[in-house]
Amino acid sequence: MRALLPVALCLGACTNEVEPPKAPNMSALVARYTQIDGELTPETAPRLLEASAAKLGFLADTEELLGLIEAVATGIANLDDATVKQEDGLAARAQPLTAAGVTIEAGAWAIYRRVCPGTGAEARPSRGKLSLTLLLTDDGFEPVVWGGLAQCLLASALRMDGDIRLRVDGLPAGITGVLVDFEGQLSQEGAPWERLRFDARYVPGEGVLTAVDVPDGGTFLVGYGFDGGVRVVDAQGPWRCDTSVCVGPDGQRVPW
Amino acid sequence: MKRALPGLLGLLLVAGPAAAYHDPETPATDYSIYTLKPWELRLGLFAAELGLLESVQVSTYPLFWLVKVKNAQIKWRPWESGGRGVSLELGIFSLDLADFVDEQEAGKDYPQFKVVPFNLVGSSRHDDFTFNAGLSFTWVNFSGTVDSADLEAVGGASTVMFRPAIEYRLSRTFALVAEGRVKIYERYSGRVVTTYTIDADSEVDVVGSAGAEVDGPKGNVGLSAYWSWATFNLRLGLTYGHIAVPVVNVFIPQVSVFPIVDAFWRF
Repeated sequence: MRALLPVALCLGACTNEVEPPKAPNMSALVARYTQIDGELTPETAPRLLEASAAKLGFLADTEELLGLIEAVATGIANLDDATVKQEDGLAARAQPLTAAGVTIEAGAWAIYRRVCPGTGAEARPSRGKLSLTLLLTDDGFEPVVWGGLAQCLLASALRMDGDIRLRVDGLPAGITGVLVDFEGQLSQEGAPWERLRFDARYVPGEGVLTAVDVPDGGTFLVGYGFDGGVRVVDAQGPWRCDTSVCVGPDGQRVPW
Repeated sequence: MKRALPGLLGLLLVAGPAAAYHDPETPATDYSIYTLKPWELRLGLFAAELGLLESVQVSTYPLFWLVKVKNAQIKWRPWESGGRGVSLELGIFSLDLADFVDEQEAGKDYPQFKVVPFNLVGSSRHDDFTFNAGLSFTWVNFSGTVDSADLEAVGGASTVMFRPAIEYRLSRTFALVAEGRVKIYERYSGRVVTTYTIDADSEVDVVGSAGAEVDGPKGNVGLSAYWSWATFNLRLGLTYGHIAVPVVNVFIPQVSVFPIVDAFWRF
């Protein structure tokens, strides 16, 4: 009778269904970007500047990646306008639902592939690509999107290889922010950089910020606005900075 | 040839040792716990069976092999006492469409169908009657790609079916069999892949996965006459209800009358 056990178990587990992939947990990173406890003072400002230099440099180098991500997110949100290339398969259409204008089944997901921009001189296959997995819902897709960059060539001739996780906020009304978490290898003209992990929060139309820890000074967000100015967010709120001074939310001034 | 035919048929009906009469030594193996004796052979329209041990037999369906469906079943009677007993039967049916392709493309994922039926049967013999109750668990799976522009899917079904059968032996060579199939559980599942082109540089595969349990009663009842001479057996009858697809044990949701036909020899 023990032979019955695997059969009984199989009824529950061996139902031929392909389980949707599981999204990575980004809650720790989200908390890091929402629980800002640093305070910008004349004492912490120079240490913040020092601690953020490398990350700001990387932000500038990979700014194009953010543009690429915005294009991807916009493309997914506008799937209604896409054309169906092929539609195949078997499906038991028990509970149809609509996500981004596409009628799909419960438990559906999508794999988004995009050829990287390249420098303009390469054929598509040599530009590499970005692949992202999205879990579809009634409203569009789950905010956490993840995937990889494979030999992804940016216009700056920087190539990116590695894993990428995104948290896209604001859907379906509109993207209000994209938290990016990248881990992998960068190279330029065949010369590899150090393997690194990098995170940043991109706000369409406003700017990009990255979390920076200042030893004994707490966590800040530092970045730049698309108007060119440097931005700092501390526990009090956002600061606008130029090369010599930062102006706080209440007009207070802290020199760099 | 015409003159030889009746003689040949007669030979088939009576030749060889008595291996198939409806008696406790040679009980019917179709819907019951019983197995063929060691090295006893059954050949017929559908199944070919061979007794291996006192309580174990193996079987296959030669017709399926002709259409490249690999198949085998093993039946084991772990317990029998005082006219009662239990049997377990496990099978595997596999169809690989790559077998139909002369020149296979390297790396191509050809479609495969797999069916794994498992039957648990209990039988109780009382005078001229044998009461049988079976549970059939079946797992059906499809996977593979026919062509990138045609079909890319996985899917299948899981079913549980109750299969009672009563055999009433009216004589050594003739019995009536009433049997039925009742759906207990049916679940179908599948996946669909839709590719959307967003622009020249980007596209999206939307992958939908779904499962559905099928509600509502399904089943059928059948009555057949079962002749069993020394070696030759013939079974003819009618079934009314939902058609149960053999092997995969899936009901077609259409009620109709359909025949029961089988003929085989036991040596």
